[in-house]
Amino acid sequence: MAEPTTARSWTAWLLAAPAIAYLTAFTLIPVGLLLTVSFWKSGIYGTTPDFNFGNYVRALAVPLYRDQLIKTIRIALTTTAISFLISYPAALYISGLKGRLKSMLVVLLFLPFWTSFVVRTFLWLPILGRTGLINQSLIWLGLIDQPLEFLLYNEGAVLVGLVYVFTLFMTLPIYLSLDKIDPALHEAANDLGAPPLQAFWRVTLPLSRPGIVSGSIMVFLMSIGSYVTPQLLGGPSGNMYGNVIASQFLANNNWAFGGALSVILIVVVLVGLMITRRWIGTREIFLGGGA
Amino acid sequence: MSADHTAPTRRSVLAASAAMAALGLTGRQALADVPTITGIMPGPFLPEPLKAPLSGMAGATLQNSPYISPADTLAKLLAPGGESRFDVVISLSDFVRAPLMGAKAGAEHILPLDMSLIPNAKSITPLFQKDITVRDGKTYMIPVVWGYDSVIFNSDKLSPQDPTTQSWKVLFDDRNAGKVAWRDDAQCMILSAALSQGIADPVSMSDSDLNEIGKFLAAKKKNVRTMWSQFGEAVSLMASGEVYAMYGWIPMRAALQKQGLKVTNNWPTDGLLVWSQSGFIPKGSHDVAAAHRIINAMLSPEYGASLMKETNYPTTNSTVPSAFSAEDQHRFGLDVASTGQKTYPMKMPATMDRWLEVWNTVKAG
Repeated sequence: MAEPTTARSWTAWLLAAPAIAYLTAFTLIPVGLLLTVSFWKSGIYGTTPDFNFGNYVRALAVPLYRDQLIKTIRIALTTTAISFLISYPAALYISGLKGRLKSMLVVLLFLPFWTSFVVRTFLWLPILGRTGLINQSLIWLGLIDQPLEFLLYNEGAVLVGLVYVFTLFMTLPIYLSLDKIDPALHEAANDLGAPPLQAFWRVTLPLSRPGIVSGSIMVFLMSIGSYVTPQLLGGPSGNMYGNVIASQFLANNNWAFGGALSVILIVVVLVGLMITRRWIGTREIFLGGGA
Repeated sequence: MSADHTAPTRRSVLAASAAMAALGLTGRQALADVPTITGIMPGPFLPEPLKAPLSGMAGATLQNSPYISPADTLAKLLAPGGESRFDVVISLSDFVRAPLMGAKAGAEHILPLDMSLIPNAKSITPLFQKDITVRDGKTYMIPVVWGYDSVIFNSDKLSPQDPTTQSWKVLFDDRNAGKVAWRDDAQCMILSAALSQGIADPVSMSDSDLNEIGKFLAAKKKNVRTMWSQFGEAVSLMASGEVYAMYGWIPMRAALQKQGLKVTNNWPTDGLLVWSQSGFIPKGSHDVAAAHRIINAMLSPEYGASLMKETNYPTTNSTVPSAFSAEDQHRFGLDVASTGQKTYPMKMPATMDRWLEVWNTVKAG
């Protein structure tokens, strides 16, 4: 019975082919190239394949890069936490609705995301700026005499921008998790005498955990690699690791060192996910809970 | 400025415009017959109104690709197959020269130019003759457009007569705390800070001098409202009143003046930062003859005068200034070579890695 086995094998390969092609084209080749280049040497005449560890030695020895990485992780974690605090109540409220209002609120949730990321970030300038909406409104109301300078061009403004542009990626998975919870479970908790807070704590929150975890991972990963938001809103001190990496490519043509900094970021994120995988259940998210 | 002096120059500008318009018409009529080639250069070097006239003059239509930066242009050219991606390129001379020329003869990624096809190159101003790239007697790159970086400021807020205003020092002056913007660029900011601190040749300064400049910038960062990285970002910083002085480019001044703002640029006594952008032909160019004609047409006096009017960017043709009044020449900085204005070429430092590290340390602090 060799033929059916061979046929099954071919079918399996054919079915797997799109996934293999996707992973090869969008993960293995780019990351492999990045990894390879990070061990090369960039100079005035371009990047040459002279294998060396110099880029990694420099990236780890110079305090600047370590400090920027720590600062970036802190900003990404803070963004994730704020996004969660905003997203969860919103998702909980919307998931509890029915009919047209629910549909309308979901559409409204998406509305700002139909435009470009840069435009959404840029919009904060006329809102938070010295002559912006908030300052003008406060002056008009007589609450302040002089514009508030601290609203823009600092780390706080970066957090506002990051939370704004990434929060949907938290809200959506939480909303989908909450929406899938069988209402009978809430009724059962109620029938068994659990007060609403306890029912939420023991039933709703645990069942929405997959949404929280996947949303948190997405927001964290996107925040940690941010470049545009700190560039536009961060001012003189809003630099993040992504800006340091970008400067190596854009200002210095140093692909090798930029590659090494990028690989370090990937490794730090992977190690972070591995360390926390049991606690936050990343295995459940990435492997669908079956492994 | 007397009327006698302005009248002929106005006439010559009008004459140049008329010639351009006529050429444009001819160009449009003949568009179907002329070849189309692909180029890459900063958008302002080929503004929309000048596309048809350039085609008319060159007998070739230039399809300009979206331009991001010299680093991006270099990356595109040096990528596998990149040499045949563009037929003609204009990019920042000092940034692209070494990588495109390669370490030694034969390693060039670009073609030697046939100078007999670029007769207008004979008129390249002496100020930029040094930027003509020659190896083994062959010319590979010639400067086509030049410009300068200076401080763009609101003259209602800062007195142009104040000596500090006419210096890079204005960007670091404590009196302007919170009202200035720097450019988020290691090369530009370290150069301007070093010049303001009296370092005569910043590009070759020692590592200890570089560290001192880094400390100086870090100490003065408290005065900075923000650091811009894009054209529109910088213009909106000044237009919205967020800052009243910033490191800036020529077209920013033009854009802000068009908005009716009382904005001008300074003429730093410690050294105006001057650069040129060179034209060259990649090795894989599909139409080398047309690429030569485009470079030659962009170096023509007519194109130079029209480009000045459109964007304030001067070309390197030495006859272009004569199309403008002495007052306009001074206003646009076309007379920097003759007025004794101190200039400093915006060269890439050999230790750019260190410069970038110092700059990133300033930003991280």
